[in-house]
Amino acid sequence: MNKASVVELSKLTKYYGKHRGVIDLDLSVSQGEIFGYLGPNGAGKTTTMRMLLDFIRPTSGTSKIFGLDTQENSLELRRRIGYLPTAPSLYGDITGKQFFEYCANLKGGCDWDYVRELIQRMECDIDRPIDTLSHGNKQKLAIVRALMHRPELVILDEPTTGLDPLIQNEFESILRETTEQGNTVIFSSHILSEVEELCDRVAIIREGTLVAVEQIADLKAKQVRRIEMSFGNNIRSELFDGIDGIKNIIITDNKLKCDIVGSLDTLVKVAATQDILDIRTEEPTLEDIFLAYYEGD
Amino acid sequence: MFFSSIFLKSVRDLRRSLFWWSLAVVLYCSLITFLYDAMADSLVQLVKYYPPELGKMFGIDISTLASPAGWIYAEIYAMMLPICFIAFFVFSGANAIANEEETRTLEILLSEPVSRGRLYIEKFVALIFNGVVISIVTFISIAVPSIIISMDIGMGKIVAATLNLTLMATLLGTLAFAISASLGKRRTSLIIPVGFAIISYVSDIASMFASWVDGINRFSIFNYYRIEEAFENGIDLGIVLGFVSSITLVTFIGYLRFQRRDLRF
Repeated sequence: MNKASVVELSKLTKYYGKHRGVIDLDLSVSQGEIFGYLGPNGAGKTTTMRMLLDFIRPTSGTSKIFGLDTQENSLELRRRIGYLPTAPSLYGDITGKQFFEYCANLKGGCDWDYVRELIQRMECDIDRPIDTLSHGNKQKLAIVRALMHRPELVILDEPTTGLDPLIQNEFESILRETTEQGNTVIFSSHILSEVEELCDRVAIIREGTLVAVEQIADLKAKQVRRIEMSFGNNIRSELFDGIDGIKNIIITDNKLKCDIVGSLDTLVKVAATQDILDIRTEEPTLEDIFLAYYEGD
Repeated sequence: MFFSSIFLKSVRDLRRSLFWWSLAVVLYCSLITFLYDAMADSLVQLVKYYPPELGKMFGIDISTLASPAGWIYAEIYAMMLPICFIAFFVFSGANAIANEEETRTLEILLSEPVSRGRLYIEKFVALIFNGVVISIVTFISIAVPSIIISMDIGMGKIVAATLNLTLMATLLGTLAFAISASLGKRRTSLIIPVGFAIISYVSDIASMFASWVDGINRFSIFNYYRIEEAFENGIDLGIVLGFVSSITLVTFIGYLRFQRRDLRF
């Protein structure tokens, strides 16, 4: 059964005067997903997130969350969303405890047992004025604030900046638990290995336009894979010419090096007609995929 | 307690500023009021030799300087207190939303289930609340010393003068607040009301010397800051209504603009 769509963008466009924000974004995020939103600085990730929160209004197109228009139902939606902005700015002259108290009151109340659990798991220092905390400790407070009311949709803009690896692992566990409970996470990050580990699907945005929205596994399948094969007999390059997706064939000392896009099935079957000694292949990382989309920039 | 609403948090944020401004007002107003007791006789002599035109330059009628009301008006309400009040109200108004926007705490605040309208109104009420506090402090700082030295000045007249001053400063503070909400720029929110106040003041003084300025002076906020009349006649309902209507209009325009614009983080 298809899961309900939580976020729906349709032809969503934003211009700042003559400057491009995002153009014609069409995107759907399903319930329970951890959805990665990738792109370099200025690509339009934050613009998209701010339109979802109704901080800025689209030039054209629509955005819906839980089937509700994000402009007309902004207040209702913000009760159900937890948002972590990029490099969040918190009130420096109050303590973390006071900050949570203020946010909880604005949210209309919170389950304080859960808040205390988050504080403990994220190892937050809540007794010192926020101004005296390190960047990482401020980030932890901002993360707890975004999650403290058990939101149905969590929107995180570069959430792990400044977190140490142990806390980062704990944070990832919390996100997984959140989605296991049926909630949804949209997650932008520059740390592609983290996105690869956490996310089910990713969207890649380039210069305000979506260039790919796919399962990470599908994205990888479409990418160039480098293959090295060693043979016990002499081989000729003509054997491999014409295989779908193969390119850059180099044969030296009974070794084949080539790049291939898509299935390896035909290549392996052709190679099996020879005396194969060894096969080496490298799976492309998300970083390779990401860079491939930005080649030539 | 201070973290239960935007209003209380805003009051808390201004508490230090309010304390220091109030302290300055208390010290200045009470000192000047007490000074009258020591200076009353010499003031009579001074009035005889003081050129009336020089008094006009500072917006005061020198012939009344020796009277209790004339002294309080000239030394407190003519220049010093308007400067203090305008500074306090305009700084508070300009900071209210633009400062949160420039420092990006507004991004956190408005990602909570808080409508822009609620944020605007609670911030505005906090501005007015602080204004009322400093006005009450001003009244007490003049009224108490005047009772102690048995100054012949009615309490109702001090109330009328303080009300007139508060309304004028509130209008300028509201202008700063509305610009702050409309543009999200703190500096612009400071410059426009302060510039308007300075031009208004110059225009008001100039109108005492040149009748052709009268037309322009209709738009001067100081033209409606009529402290001498307040000391003579008490509260002028027309002036009060004029200020209240202007404050309401400016507040409403700022509200509409804040609802519709893109926020600048």
